[in-house]
Amino acid sequence: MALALSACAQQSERDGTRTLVGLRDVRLRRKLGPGDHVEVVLTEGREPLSVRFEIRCDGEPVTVGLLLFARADDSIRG
Amino acid sequence: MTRSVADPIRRAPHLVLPHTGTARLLTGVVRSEAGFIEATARVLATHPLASGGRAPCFLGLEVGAQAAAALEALLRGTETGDGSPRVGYLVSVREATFLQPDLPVDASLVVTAHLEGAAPPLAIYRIRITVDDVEFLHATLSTYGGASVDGHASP
Repeated sequence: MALALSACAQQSERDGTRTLVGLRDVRLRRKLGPGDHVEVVLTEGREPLSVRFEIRCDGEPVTVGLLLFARADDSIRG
Repeated sequence: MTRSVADPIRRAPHLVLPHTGTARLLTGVVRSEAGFIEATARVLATHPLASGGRAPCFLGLEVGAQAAAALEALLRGTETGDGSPRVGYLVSVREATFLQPDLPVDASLVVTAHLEGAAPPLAIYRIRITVDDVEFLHATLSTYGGASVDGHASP
């Protein structure tokens, strides 16, 4: 899950203007094992700077959730 | 009642967590009581997600899940005498807030997990991770604990 989530976050941060600040409603429906091939689908979330993700394996969703980002220059971090 | 523990993570980690190698992030139990645990953790530089002395902050969710698993193992051992390790799963993250983009590698993390509710085998935990008293993340997780490592279902 962490590896797939890392891929999601890296893609969304690729332009360097936003950073991952939260997650919401993440559901891990099935475990993944070594050698499993996954497909990651990203769609724009309803909230600003949010990305909905779905990780699929063999056509079935294994993990879904919402990534929350902030602009990198926002002073929201401690 | 707060329980003083002869640290089970250091004494017999395989009885608390099934994880091995770099996947075992928890390094010790500071204190535990019914529904609460404070533990220490460390992300090794050799962890697959570590790079340049940092690891992504969401790896802290796994740290929190391991703390929750350790709490369940300690309580199970106290209440039932069942000291066998169990396989548990993180099944949802209701919400998580990352206050820092990364976790430091090879640093001592402090993790707390509060049991907020349970309908066995499901449980909800509020977790928090700090480093040198600076909060890095907090989240609400749900876990599913059931089968023993050898495949037998939890009573």
